[in-house]
Amino acid sequence: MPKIVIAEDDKFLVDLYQKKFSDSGFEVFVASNEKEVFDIIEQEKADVLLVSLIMGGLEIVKKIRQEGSNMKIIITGYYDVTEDGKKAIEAGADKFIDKSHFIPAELVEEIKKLMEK
Amino acid sequence: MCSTPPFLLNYLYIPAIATTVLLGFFIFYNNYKKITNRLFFIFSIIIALWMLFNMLNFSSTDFDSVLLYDKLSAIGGFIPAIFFIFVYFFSDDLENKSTISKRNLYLFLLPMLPFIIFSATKYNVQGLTDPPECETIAGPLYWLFAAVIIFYTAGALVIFFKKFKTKNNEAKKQLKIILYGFSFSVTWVLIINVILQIFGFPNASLLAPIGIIWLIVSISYAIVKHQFLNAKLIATQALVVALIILIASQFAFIVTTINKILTAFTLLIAIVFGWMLIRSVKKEVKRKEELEVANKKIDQKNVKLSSANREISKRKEALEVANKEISERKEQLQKMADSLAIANDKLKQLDTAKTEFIGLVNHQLLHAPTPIKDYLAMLLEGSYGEIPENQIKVLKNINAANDRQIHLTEDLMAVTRMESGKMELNFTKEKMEDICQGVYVNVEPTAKEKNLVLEYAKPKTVLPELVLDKSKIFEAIFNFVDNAVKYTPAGKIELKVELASSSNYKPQSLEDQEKKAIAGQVVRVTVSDTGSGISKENIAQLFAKFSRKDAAKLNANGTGLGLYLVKLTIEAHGGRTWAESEGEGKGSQFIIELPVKTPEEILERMADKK
Amino acid sequence: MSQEEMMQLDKAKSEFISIASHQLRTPLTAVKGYVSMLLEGSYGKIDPKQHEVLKGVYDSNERMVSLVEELLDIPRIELGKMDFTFAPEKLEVICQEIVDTFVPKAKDKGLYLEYKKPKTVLPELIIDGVKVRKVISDIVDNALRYTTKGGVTVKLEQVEKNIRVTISDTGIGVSEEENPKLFQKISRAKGTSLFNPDGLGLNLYVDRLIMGKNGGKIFVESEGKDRGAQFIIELPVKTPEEILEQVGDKK
Repeated sequence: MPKIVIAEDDKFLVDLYQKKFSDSGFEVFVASNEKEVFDIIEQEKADVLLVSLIMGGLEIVKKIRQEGSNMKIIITGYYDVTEDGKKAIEAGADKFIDKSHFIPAELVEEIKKLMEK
Repeated sequence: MCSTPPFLLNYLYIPAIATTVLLGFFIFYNNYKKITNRLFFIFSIIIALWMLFNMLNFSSTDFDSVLLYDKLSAIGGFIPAIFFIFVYFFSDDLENKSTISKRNLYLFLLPMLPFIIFSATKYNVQGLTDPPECETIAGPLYWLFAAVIIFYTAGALVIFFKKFKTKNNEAKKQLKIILYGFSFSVTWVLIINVILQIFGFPNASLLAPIGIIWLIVSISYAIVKHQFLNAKLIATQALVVALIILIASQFAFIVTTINKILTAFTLLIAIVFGWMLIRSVKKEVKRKEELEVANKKIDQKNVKLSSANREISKRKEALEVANKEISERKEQLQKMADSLAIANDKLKQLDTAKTEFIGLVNHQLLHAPTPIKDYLAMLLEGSYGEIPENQIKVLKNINAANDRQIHLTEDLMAVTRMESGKMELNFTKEKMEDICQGVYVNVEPTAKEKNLVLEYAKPKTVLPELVLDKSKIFEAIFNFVDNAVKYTPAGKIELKVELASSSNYKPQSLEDQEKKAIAGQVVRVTVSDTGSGISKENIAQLFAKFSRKDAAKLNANGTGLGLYLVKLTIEAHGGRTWAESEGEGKGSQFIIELPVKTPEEILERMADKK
Repeated sequence: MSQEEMMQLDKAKSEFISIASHQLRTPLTAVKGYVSMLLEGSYGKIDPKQHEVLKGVYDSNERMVSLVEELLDIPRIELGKMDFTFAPEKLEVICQEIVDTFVPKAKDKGLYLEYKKPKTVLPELIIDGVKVRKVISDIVDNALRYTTKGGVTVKLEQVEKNIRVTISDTGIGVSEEENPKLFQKISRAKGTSLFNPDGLGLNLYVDRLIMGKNGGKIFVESEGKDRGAQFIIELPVKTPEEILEQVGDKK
């Protein structure tokens, strides 16, 4: 079972993603801050990280990549004036997803696609 | 018996003497107050006497008479002295100075003394030669006589030329006239004595004294001119009188009775016509004078008029310049008004656009979640059939999320409206105690549920009523109390309202540094809790409009705008709001202060509304 | 207000809009997520009736999402932060796709939707296909919305050095006063704002900005009210050098 760490600020989204990913065969771990993210990744050796921009996604991604990890990382957010999409990729994320246009099922799809690569 | 020259000479002397006397008299008569005139009178009398004695001298046949008259004609020696004095005083008079000093006068006359003594003695005129020549034999002191004469003449000339340097043109003119007279006299004497002598007219020298008449005439003229004595009148008078005298003098030589009658008749006519002539001349002179006066007045008026005219044209010019300026200003103002109008228009358009935009956004964003809310409500009621428990939970979550969206939109709209000044505040006089009571009542049940103690500390004395928007202030206080209840896990929340004599306001963020505390009395609302407290860094950000960083700190339930909105509301009332905390874990106090004295802007707004 | 102040206010407004829309989207995403999962059956079976209702909820929510995005486009494009990806595109393909998408909608309204293809093969254009698609879609969408009878014609052709897409309708048209305002930031053709509950009317403004970024323009010709309108989208055909220059600029 692939392991996914979910770091989302909105409690509803956490609830949603948790359910969906569980239903889709993932083991889900929830982190509520950066420290927890790294703890869980280290402890559980998670395969996927789903982290929102607001939770410090960019920094987290950079750090993870610095450590040399190849885990799949998706940064979630909303397209904004700050060109987050580009920044996310530049930071080392595998994909940037605008939550406005993705339902949880589609999210799962994307992650599955990524994992197949 | 001494020989006498032809009687013709007498005819020359008599008019000369008469003229001299008359001139002197008339000048004296016209203004006897003036020293100059008096002096001239004396001068002319002396000259007349001198000429008379001279005449008598050469027309007498009797030896003793000739000698007598010879001595008497020494009076001529006074002439230079008088002339000297006269020139001195006259030149001063010309310059309208009066430097008469009696001391000087006596000083001048001093050398005259020996002269007076000697002149009649044989030291001056020793005697006469034998008849028929009967010529003068000069005495041993004759030289003194001559010296005095020269002295005074020279002195007079010196003064004359000194005064000639004057800047006064008028005076210069008069002095020139006298100079001419003097020159003429001298020339006459020279011609008579030198030239005629050469041509063999020995008796011609007797004509010499007449030459002085020129001086007399010129001085008279100068005086008359200077003193504005009317020359014409004097001349006429003098002439008439001379004529009368001349005619009268004929009596001395007429023998026949018929001649005498005729002469008397002529005299009568002369007197009558002379009188009429003088009168008419007087009239004419008077009229002329009046005319001159009138003319002068007219001239003055003209001068005034022309200067007034100049003033007027100057004023006109100034007016024109001013007018130009005014019309230029007008243009400028018009342009400014125009551009202002345009700018105003644009602003109005912008304003309308803003309002429309806000309205639109408001409408759309608030309109859209409504069907969602309705549907969810119906689903949850079971209007569409029964729903399993886990689905109900989900639906409730959806509802909560949707509500959050609504609240956020509402808050955003409120913030936009407040910031753009479009928030309608309804100001009325209210009791703060009542508002606080309302909030308390509202939150109490929630607090109870959470096992928190919510206290409302009523003020001991009645607070002054404040002018405020009741619902907005209620919302603000409610926000604080509700927040306190939400974020205090356990313990007590206290709501207190009181009257304070001064504000305790402390600016907390950079933007607020400029803000001053409220002046005067304030009504202070304090909401204190025993919750998790706030760190120093966070306090500065508390009331700020949410930024990206803060979004992370946003509580899932909050919109992040609540406190910002409270701040905007309170400040729109002229109040201040801030938070205090000892630190994390040490609880916090949220404070609202409102001024007791209604701020000017609020009073204006209320007045505007009416 | 001085020029500077107005600009500052504008900037503040843009920032505010961006932050606000970000905050607004979180609950929208939650709703979207939950409803989609409910509809999928992740939470168990749903009655058909309930399914329908939930679909309605989903659609409403989607509308709000696009509303907020619309709001956001403006500061994005104004601050130059909108992503543009330029690539060679065939406008015939774009137009065909759009027409295909909207035919059902037109049919629903009882209107015709024609596509007049160009007679010759048109040169490719270096444009941001996604954005240009959006522009043309918006116009066609608008045209259909403001037409009650008749229909919409999409004509694609080359006019001298430009490629033109003319979208003409037989709808309410655009009056002379409204014409200049149409493509402005805050505008709504009068009389339509209340009829159409969708959108903030910012689309045309964004479309204009997008066209600008693509080197083209958009304008409208209309005989007047109720006489239909012709929206024209024009894109210049560029020489290879110009293209290189353009691409170089935009990067």
